[in-house]
Amino acid sequence: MPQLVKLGPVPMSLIYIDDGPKIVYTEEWIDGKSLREIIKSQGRVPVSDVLRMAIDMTKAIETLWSVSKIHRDVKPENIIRRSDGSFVLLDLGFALDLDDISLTGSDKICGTVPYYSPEQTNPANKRKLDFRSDLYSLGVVMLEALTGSNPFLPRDGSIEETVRSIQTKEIRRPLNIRDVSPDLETLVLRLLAKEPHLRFRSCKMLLDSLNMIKEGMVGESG
Amino acid sequence: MSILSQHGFQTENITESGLNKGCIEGVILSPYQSGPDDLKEYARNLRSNHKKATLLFDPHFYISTITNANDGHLTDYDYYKSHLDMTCFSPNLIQDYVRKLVKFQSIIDFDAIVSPSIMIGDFSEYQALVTIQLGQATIEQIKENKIDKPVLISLTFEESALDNWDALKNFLNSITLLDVVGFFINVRLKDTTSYPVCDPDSLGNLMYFTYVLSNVNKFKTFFGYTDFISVLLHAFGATAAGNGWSTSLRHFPMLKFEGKGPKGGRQSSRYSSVHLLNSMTVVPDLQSIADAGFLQDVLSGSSYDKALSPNPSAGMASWSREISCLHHWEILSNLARKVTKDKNVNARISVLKGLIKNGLDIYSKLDQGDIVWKQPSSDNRNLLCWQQAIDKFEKRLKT
Repeated sequence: MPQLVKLGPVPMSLIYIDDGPKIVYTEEWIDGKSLREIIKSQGRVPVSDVLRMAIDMTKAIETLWSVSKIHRDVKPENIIRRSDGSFVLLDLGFALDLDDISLTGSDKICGTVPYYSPEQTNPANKRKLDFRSDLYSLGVVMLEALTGSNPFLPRDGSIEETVRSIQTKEIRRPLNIRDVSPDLETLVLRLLAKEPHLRFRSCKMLLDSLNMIKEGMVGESG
Repeated sequence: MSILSQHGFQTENITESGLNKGCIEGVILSPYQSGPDDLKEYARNLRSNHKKATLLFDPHFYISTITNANDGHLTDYDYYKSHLDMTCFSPNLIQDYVRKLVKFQSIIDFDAIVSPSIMIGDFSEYQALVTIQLGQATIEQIKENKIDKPVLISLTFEESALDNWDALKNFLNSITLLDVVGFFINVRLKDTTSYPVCDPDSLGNLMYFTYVLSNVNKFKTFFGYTDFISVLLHAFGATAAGNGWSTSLRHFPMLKFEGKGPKGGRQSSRYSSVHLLNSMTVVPDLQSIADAGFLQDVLSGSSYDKALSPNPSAGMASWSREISCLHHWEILSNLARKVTKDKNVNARISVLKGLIKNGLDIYSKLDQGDIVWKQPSSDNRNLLCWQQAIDKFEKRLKT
């Protein structure tokens, strides 16, 4: 019998059969709303929900990276809040297997432009991407959830302008967002660093920081 | 934050005194200096006398790619090979070097296993890739043999490698993905004749390099052959810096390894000033400062100072090589403590700027006394270079 391991907050499983591990994508009916719908209806998402979302997404990105995959399309539309309040990352259609030949053409960039990491905007980097690219996208999603808008979307909405904005626009402190602590502000800005080496070198480091901020909030309100 | 003794010619007794007096916290052992049996014995003695000391091993593998190298005792080591060129780094050969090196280090009570490295002239070169492969092979070897020791990836590069900014950033992107405790770094300065003066552009990038590894990514970073630059490196997050007193232990002695360095000879007695963040000869430099009436501005306030005050040349006889070295380590340790008092890098930079400004003010004062430095490196250029390098670093982070 193959051994089946459910891989955290992503709809896929790892099974072990004769010649090693295999990834199995599963379809699951998720009763919930997308983060896009939540942002649309609420404008700004409460900090506690953003933290929970970030923790669940980091675990999802960590799970993918443990099997040499990156998602490449982390965005509000692909994040669903279940009725129990937890978040799940959907749509692995663009997930890139760094150990294998990808289904998508090598000269194409995949994903949704306003959530691209700076390195993702260059197709030549495709094989050089790592999980820190997904962490950058998560940073954009967090900022959008906290403020209600994507900071890299230009007024004219053109792809060229968006790409230029991602490559050159610096988001600086203070962000002046209500209820956002300096530690959370620092964390979001770090995720949005233009260089991968300035973000987090492991998902565990990011999770530790997120949990620390979350515990700090519980301490304050308690 | 600590200063480590850089193992070299006849440094054992001084190192022992330094560890006993607490002005150093460990030793970087050198296979260039001692054969395997002597080195094992030395490490065993160090460990039994100083249980808490940091003991690291610099494999000196980078000498293997130098043509007609002066490789000291290295040829006595199983892992070392002379005259390697870039065709000698196939996956199988890399595994072979690493397996032997890890085996040697694992039988000695070092604090970490250090991977082999080769000299990198530019981070976009094949040598940079080989260095990463040597590091990855070391990580695999440790896992395979279930060795319960942390791994330090060894990096050895030319100062000029820091000038290729895009290549440096790509290299940082690669090495920050390595699952290790930290890095062991040697930097060969561009112009060792003007040491410790560096190019401010490359020094600013070295600060960035150190900051990214140590502060942002929380790696431990150990630097070999550092001298006063250890103050800067500590401010930007370095864990420890190796330092000796002879010229070849204060900066990376590539010329010696290439067999081109100056032969032996007794070096002038030197004095390290905590205020000038620099060292100088006792005679004539410190003596001329005393003659001009500025001795108290320059003296470090160490208990060793009394030998040279009020008349440095009269104290020369008691300013032995050992005292000079212990004093130097004490000054560097004090400075490292001072710049790392605060955890925040901005606060550290602010302390550093204060120290540099104070040093430059004293240098201005000395200018009035017409001090002529025996070696150009004793003047204020290194502090001016540090100032520019810090500006450069700050601009880098903003962009």
